[in-house]
Amino acid sequence: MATKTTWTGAVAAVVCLAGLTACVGTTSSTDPVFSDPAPTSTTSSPESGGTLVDPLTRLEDPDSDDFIATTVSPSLHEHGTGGASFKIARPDPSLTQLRFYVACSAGDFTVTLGTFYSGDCTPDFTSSGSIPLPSGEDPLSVRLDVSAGTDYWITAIPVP
Amino acid sequence: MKKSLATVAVTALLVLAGGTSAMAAEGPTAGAQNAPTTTNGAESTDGTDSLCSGSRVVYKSSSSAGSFTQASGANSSVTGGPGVTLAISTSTTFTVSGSITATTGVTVSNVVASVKADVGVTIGASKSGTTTNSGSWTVPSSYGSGRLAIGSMKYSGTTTKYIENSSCTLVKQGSSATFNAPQQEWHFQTSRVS
Repeated sequence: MATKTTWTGAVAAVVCLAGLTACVGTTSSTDPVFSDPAPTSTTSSPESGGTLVDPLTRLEDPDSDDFIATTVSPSLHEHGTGGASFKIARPDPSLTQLRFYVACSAGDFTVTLGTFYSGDCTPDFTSSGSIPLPSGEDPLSVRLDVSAGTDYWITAIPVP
Repeated sequence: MKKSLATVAVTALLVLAGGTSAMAAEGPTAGAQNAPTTTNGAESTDGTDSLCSGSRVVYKSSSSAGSFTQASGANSSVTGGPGVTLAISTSTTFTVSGSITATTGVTVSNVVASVKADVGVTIGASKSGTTTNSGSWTVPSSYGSGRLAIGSMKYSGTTTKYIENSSCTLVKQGSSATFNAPQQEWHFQTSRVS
């Protein structure tokens, strides 16, 4: 999975080097939908977060206790700095929750989607929070709050 | 008659010492560790009863009830709103620190064995590692918010060394060891925040 992280970082770097688009809300190829990042959100390469670990690396690692599948299709898979808002498409009706994984560099984090999930920041995720999808809303509005200047990774997996 | 008096004396000592009956023993009669009031029952060559060998070493522990102690380090607890299912990663290493203070006559191993026999839990100077259970918990809808924390039950108390004399009376040896140490298994605590 380190390869995947490096590849993602390379994509982000290429996008940023182009200099013609805002370096905001870069998505991995597995992200089905992503739009409307918060104005305060700016991306950084994964390396700028120090030892921040992309949650997907463990979720797709068969040797990890947190393994889900070798290929996971997250609804949200982002890295950046500071608080951010995301719009994501409502998943298939059979999937009723989004399970969030957050890694961040300092302080604490709060994920809000109708209700909330909160914890202390750690460079590699140490918990998860599965939030029931609010009815009606499409796309879904997800808010991540971290301290200004705090690097983060956020991943959301739709679950039944 | 002599047997009966000795039995009463040992029993009284045990009651005064804390009331638990299980004991950790060592020495020639260690196999009889859970029967401190019984005698060896051997007949001596001069025709008198030899009640006890007079050399059996016994360790006895008394402890407070265990209390939950949250693991140190970031993210040993998470919080969520109603309906949110919280889980702690099984890949993460957590630590609960503690202490076992040995004395000249009571080693750390003596304390651990005695607490296991008398209190029924395995303690250690600290507890560190991963958990095989995520502690997954859904915050009830009646809560404003709830919290899931990982930690260990911590026990504090003393372990004392005794020698059983030939009259089957337990005689305290030296000073007691003290402990304030976590059980060697993880526990999850859920609570209502609001």
